[in-house]
Order: sequence, then C-alpha cells, then structure tokens
Amino acid sequence: MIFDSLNIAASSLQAQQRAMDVVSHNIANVNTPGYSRQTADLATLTSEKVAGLNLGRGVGVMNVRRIVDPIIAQAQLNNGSQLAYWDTTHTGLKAVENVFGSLQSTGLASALDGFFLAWKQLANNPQDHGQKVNVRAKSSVLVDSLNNMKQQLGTVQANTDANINQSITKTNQILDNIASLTMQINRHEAGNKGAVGQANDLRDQRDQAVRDLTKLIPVQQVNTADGGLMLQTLGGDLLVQDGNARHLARGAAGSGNFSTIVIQGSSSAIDQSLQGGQLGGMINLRDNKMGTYIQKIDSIAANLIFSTNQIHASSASSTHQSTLTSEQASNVSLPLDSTQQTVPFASKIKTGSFKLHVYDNTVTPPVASRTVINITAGTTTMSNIVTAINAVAGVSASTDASGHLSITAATNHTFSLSGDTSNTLAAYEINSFFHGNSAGSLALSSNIKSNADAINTGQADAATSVVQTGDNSAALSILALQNSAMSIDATPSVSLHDRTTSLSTLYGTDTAIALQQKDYRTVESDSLKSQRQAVSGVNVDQELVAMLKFQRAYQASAKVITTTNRMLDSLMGLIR
Amino acid sequence: MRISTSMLYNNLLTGIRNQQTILNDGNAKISSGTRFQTPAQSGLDYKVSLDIRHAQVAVQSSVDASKAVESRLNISQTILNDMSNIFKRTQVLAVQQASGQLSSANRQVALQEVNHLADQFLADANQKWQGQSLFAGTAVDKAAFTKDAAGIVTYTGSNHDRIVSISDNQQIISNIRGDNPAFSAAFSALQGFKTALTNNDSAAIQTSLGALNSAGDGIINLTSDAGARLGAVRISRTSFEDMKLSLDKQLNQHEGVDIPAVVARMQQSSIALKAAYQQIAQLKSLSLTNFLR
Repeated sequence: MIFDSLNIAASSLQAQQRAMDVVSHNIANVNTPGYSRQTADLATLTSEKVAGLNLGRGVGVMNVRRIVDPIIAQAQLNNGSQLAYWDTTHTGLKAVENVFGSLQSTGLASALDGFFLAWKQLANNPQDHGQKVNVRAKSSVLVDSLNNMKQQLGTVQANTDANINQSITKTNQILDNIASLTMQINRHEAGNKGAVGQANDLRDQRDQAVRDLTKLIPVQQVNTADGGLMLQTLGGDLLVQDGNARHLARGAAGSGNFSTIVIQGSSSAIDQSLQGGQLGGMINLRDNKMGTYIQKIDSIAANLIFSTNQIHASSASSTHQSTLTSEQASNVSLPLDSTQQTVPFASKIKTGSFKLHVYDNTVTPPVASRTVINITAGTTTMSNIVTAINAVAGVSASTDASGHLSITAATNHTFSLSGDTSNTLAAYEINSFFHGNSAGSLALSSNIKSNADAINTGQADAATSVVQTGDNSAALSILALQNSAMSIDATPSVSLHDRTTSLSTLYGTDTAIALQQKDYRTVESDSLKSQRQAVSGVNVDQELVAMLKFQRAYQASAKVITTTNRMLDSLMGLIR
Repeated sequence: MRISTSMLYNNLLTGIRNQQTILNDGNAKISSGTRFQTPAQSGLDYKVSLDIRHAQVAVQSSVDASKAVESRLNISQTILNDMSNIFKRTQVLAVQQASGQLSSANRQVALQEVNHLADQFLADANQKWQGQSLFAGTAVDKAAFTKDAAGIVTYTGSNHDRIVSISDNQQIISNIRGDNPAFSAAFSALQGFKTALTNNDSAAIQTSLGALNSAGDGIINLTSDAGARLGAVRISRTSFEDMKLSLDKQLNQHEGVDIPAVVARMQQSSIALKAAYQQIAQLKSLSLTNFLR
C-alpha cells in the first residue's frame, strides 16, 4: 500500500508540472493580441475502494480551458465593424478638408465673392478696360477653384475605389485563413468530447481573424459545437463554411460607374449589405460623400454657367463683333433642342427669338439694321439659323464639319446680338461668358480668354441698335445673380452663395458626425477591450501567485516521495 | 472586476492620447486665435463665418460704390456751380445792357464777354472727368453737346442714366444728364441774349433777362438736386461704414477664441498628462516580479 502514496505523489508532480506549463504559456502570451488566458482544470483521479474504504488516487489535469466570454466577443465583432466604418469615413473626409477651405482661405466662397465683386466694380465703371481685365482674372480664379475642387474630389473618389480592391484582396486572404484555421481546429479536436481538449490557441487565432475580418466587412457568425464555423454577410450571403471560403470580387458597373462588389461566381451585388467595416466605409465615402459633393459643385457650376451665359449672350459692347463662333457643336439637321444633340443645355431651348443687329461702318455714325431670328422648339435646326442669318445683309453664317456655328460680318460691317428669349445663344455658347456644363468642364469662353474686351457690359438698344460705352445693364444683371435664387437643374432654387455655404456646412456636418461616431465607437471599443481583458487577459501577478501555488504543491509532492522513500527504507531495514 | 496587466497600460495610454489631443487642439486655437479653422471642425459655425464675410465684402463694395457716386456727383456739382456762376455774371450783364442809355458799341463790348461766357458754359457742359463725359449719360465717350455753325447747341449724349449698384436692393443714378430741360433752357437763353446784344435790341435784352433768370434758376435747381443726392449718398455711405464696423465686431466675436479658457484647459490637461507619465513609470515597480527572489 505504501506504493500508492508514491503513485499519488507522482500524479501530483505531473499535474503541478502541467499546470505550471499553462502558467508559463499564459505569461509567455501576456502581450499576444487575441490571446485568451488558459487554466488547467485539476481534478482528483477516480478513487479506489480498498477494504470498504474509498481511497483517492491523486490528481490529474482534466482539461486546459481558455477563458472567453461569447457575449463580449460578439459585441466586439459589431463594434469592430462600426469603428472601422466610421474611422474610414472620417479619415477620408479629413483628407479632402483643404478642398473646402479654411478661415485663412475660404476657397470657393471667396472666389465667388471675388467674381461678383469684380462684376460690381465693372458695372460701376463699364468703360474701364482695367475692370474687364479684373473680371477676367477673378473669373479665372473661380473657374480654377471649381476645377480644382472637382479634380481633387474626383481623385479621392477614384483612389477610394482603388483601395476597395486592396481591401477585397485582404478580405479574401482573411477568409482563406479562417477556413484554414477551422480545418486545423477540426483535425486537432477530432475524437474529443465537448469542450475537453479544445484547440485553444487555434480558436484564439480564428477569433482574432474573425475580428480582423469584421474590420473589413460586417459579418454574421454561427459557431457549431464541433469547432465548425459559418460566416455570412449581413444580407445572408455565405462567406465561410467550415473549410470552404467564398471570395469577394468586383462585378458590373453600379453607382457612379464604379464596379459593384459581388461574391465570386455570382453577379448579385452585395454593396447594400456592406453597411459596416472598412469596405462599407469606403463605399459610403466614394458614393454618398464624394459623390454628393461632386454633384453639388457640378450643380453650382451648371447654374453659374447657364445663368451668366443667358445674360452675356444677349449683351453687347460698343465695339461690336466682326466674327463669333459657337463653342458647342451641333448636329445641324436635328432640332436645336433635340435630346440627340450633345449640347448640355439643349433641353433649355424654347420657342422664342433673338435679334441680330448689323452695323454698316462705311458712314459715321454707323447705320444699323435689326433682324429677328425666330426659333421654334422641336423644329428649328442650326441649318435653319444659318439660312436665316445669311438672308441678312452685311453678315454671313456657316457651320464647320463638327457643327460649330460661325457668324461673320462683311467688310466694313460689324454686328451684335440681343434679346435671346429662346436660350439658343446660351445653350450653344454663342457670345457666351463661360464654356462647359460642370465643375470639371467649366472654363472661360475662348473669346474672353484671349481678349478681356470681349466681356460685354451693355445691350444693343432695341430701337436704335446703339450700344453705349457706359451702358452697364448687362453687368448689373449678372451682378444680380449673386444673391438670386436659381435652379437650372432639378435642385431646389437657392442662390449661388447659399449653395456654396451649404456645401461647406454639409461637409462639416458629415465630418462632425463621422468624428462623433468614431469617438463613440472608440470609447465602446476601449470598453469592450477592457471587458475582454478582464475576462480573458493575463494578469502577470495572478499568474505568478499561481506559479508559487503550483511550485509549493510540487515541492510538497516531492517531499511526500522522499518521505515515502524513507518509509520504504525503514521497511526494508526491518527485513535486513 | 478582474484587472489584467495590459489593462493597466492600456488605460493610461488612452488617457495620454486624450490629453495630447486636448493640448494639440489648444495649441491650434491659440496659434490661430480662432475657435475653429475649417468646416470639419464646426460646419455650422463655418457657414456663419462665410455669411458674415460675404456680408463684409458686400458692405465694403457698397462703401466703394458710394464713394464712386459721391465722386461723380461732387464733380458734377462743382461744374454746375461754375455754370451757375456764369449765369450770375450773364444776368448782371443783362441788367446792365437792358439800360436804354447804352450805345450799340457798348453792347458789342458786352457781347464779347457773353460769347466767352457762353463758350465757357458749353465747355463746362462737355466737361470730362477721368476721361468720361459728365453730362452725356451712358455715352461717356462722346461730348454731351455739339454746336452747329449757327451756334445752336444740341444734346448728343444718351438718354440712359449711369446707374451704380450700391447694394442688392439699392441702385443710384450717379450722373446729371444733359437732356435735362435746364440745359436746353440755359443754352437757349444765352443764345437769345447774344442775339439781342448783336441786334442792339433793348426790348429783346429785357426779354432775355427774364429767360436768363429762369434758366439760371434751372441750373441752380440742378446743382441743388446734385447736392441733395450727394447728401443722401453720404448718409448711406456712413450707414454702410457703421455696418462694416458692426460686422467686423460680429466676426471677431463669432470666430475669436476665449484664450484664458483654452489656457486653463491646457493647464489642466498637462497636469493630467504628467500624472499619467509618472504612473506609467511607477507601474513597472509595482509588480510581484520585483518581490520574488
């Protein structure tokens, strides 16, 4: 029976040694991300009935258990996804901060103020060449400002789209890793019953991989008792089942002509179910944020271009014109307002007319004649206009191969245009101030670019065709656009200043919301990390105390063995 | 609650990060002197700033436009005063020449002076300022009046006024137009007086005296009109200048940072930061490993 003591002590030596191994493993992984502390479950070995007595047989390590809280783990998945979403959105928004200006340089707002201030100064001194040069310079600043905004926002949008590809690659790597880890877990745990003998470290690695995955895309997780795992998108599309992973890929063109995201092999876009994670944040940034800002600056540009051109195209200067060419090409045989015309503002053309004033400069003062050119919506073509103008003495008209209209005065003749009620001149950019239809295509008309005196401030008198040098009626009308509510697209009718300031406000509010959400999710993340650490984290002091406990138990067991050995020596001494 | 070793460090690290953010924000505010700099920092406040600045630009341009109107009206008033003085002298001459005691020779001497005065009156009426005709309406590049061989003066300017936009809802006529009846009456009266002197016609001189008095009154009325408009523009400009001061103050109040409050907060933050650093240094000595031999 004395040997039983030796066996019991030996079981203790072995158990304490294994428990010490667990402590050592915990201390070794104190800083390992995703590691969950482990404990050795010590239990008495099955007792033995000897002479009617139940005698214990020692101790053994029944299981090595990792300490995790599944509720906290699930909360961390949701939090990780939202934190990454808002962090990506906020970082992306901060990257375009300079586009919207600062108090030191208020960007578009000050460029717009400068543009209208220059028009005001010109209106108050219409005969001053210097003021025209100033209007051209301030207009160029405004054009550059809108062009740069469009270009910078477009670049961020394109870069974000390119980054989506990188995130998809990263997501696919993690999905493969999760599937691989699941296979390894299955192999390690094969034949085990329940929670005993779990592949703790592999499970930690897989949990960490799932947490990393939710930082990229939001997922739903279903665990099975045998170590299996199923991951789905929020829309229910399967991503991983046990050892099989389905990859993400780019699909057909979707919003803003950017490719959608699909599950490889499928054509259904899953963009809508990506409402979290870095990928969701990038889609939000690309489509909802940058997309909206670009739409708004395009609308500002379109309203500015068409409203200014409407006035400028019907205005004149005292020097009159000897030749004018439209800056928009037409299909000469189609009605001017046909939807098949490539002219951006063709739909704005309506039934009306404009007046062509022709000046015979062979006498002083010049003799002027006036001809009304009629336009009927849905009927009149550019060819009809050419014919109508060619019927007027002193001028001729033609179109080039691409459909640009040219009006040319005969020798010793000049001409001017006025009173366009059909919007034809503005739409086809004849005698216009701006060229283009969006923030990206906006430019000064080539006439004005090359000659500031092509800026018109007055109008040809309806009865006498005279344009006075000091006439500022057109300049005053353009100036009045500054604070006038307008809408040439489907947007609400508001002034250009209000459109600009509300764009800055929208950007500011978006950034503030993104920051607030990011901060909230960061605090939540810190809290969840603390909660996880409280349950699963390693406390070195606690482990050292456990180490002392096991060390002492080991020493005591060794003492039992030496004592038992002495007892055996005593027993053997009796025999000698 | 159970505490893990990394929790101790993580909490202190979070605290350090937060305090550093406060210090960084405070530095930015103090160095710029403003509560915010970009729309990202405060979207609505930034919009208010843009609105105030927009109003400032508008008010400054209104002040400048008012000055331009003042300048034009002021010079017009000066010229009209000169024209009025010409008429006063002409009226004196008319009173003198109306006397039946004067001979034809005397009246021819007076005619010489009246011719000079009429020429001076025409020169005033065609006066240019900064290269622009003062009384020709929008035809600033043309002479307002031309005289034909018969000495008849005709208005050749435009029938449109030079309108200056002061603000969105205020446009002011900045000129006195030569087709005002006072000008034609003045030229006509001068011409009539010259004819009467040439003809040595006492009765006609007497009649001219009445016409000169009436035309002189017309020029005085125009001068008064210019003066009245000038006064109104000056009042308007003063009001815009007051508005400008008010907007400057408003902008300063809106954007300006409360420096003592920021400094106090930064002071508080740096104390917390120092404490966190100290605590991190202390953590390493508060471990069981230091006590196990």
